[in-house]
Amino acid sequence: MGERTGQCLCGAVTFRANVDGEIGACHCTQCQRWTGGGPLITVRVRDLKISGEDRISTHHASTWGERAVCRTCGSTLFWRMQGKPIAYIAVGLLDDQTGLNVTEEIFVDYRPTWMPPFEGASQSTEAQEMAKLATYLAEHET
Amino acid sequence: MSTRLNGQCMCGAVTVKAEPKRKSLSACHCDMCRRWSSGIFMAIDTVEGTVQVEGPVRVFQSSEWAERAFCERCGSNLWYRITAEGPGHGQYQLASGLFDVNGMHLGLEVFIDGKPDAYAFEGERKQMTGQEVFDIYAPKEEGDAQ
Repeated sequence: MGERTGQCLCGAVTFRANVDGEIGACHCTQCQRWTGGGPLITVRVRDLKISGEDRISTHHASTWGERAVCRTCGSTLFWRMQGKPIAYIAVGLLDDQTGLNVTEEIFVDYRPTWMPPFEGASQSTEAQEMAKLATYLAEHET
Repeated sequence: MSTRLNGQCMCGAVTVKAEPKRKSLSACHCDMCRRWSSGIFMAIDTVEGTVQVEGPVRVFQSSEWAERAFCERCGSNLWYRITAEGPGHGQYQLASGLFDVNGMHLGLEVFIDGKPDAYAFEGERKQMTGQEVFDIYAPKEEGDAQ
């Protein structure tokens, strides 16, 4: 999709990155509480260049994940594996979302009953996601 | 509706109690909610004077007319509140993610003209454009509300 730019609500954190066209939406309980209702909607990024890093506040809500927000405006910025590069960033930060599509919804068994699915997105449960996570953690164990 | 909501942010440092105004939620697609919440801000309208908040809250004045609050510790989005005088002044639009609201339904999408093509909820419900929202909340004599 090429390089895109983005920023948080107040502009303290800005970035540029190459994005691909696929967006994922996570409905887990933590993402719901964190984003105001969820889902956490993220896009995969490569060659991320981020500025305003002194304005980023991080929080560990699990032993493997790290969540980051702008400490000035509270914008959701990213979720990543602790100690790993940032691979996904909140899609709402992008200045231009042209050509992107939500292709995957995960932890759908936690999606609130009042929230409809997104049109055309694949659906994955907690059991499916935790199996993927277990495989990832086993492969990356040090 | 008299059901009282008890909720908390992701880390539990902030707790929120409130009485919802109705049994439906709204989804906002405006540019500001999009940047703030990763995509769509899901809100619960509350009865005036019923919101009780405890914990480390940071408030950000996001426009001349409204503020947004988040947990200082974990960054959870907490509320959007109109601070300007006029309709809706002081009213909390609480983040639905703080609560178990599975008995409710999604009744409204606002700023539907700001929604990216990247996603759309299945099904149909009431939708309002940004201009339709401004027509309700912004006094007409002030001209361009944006």
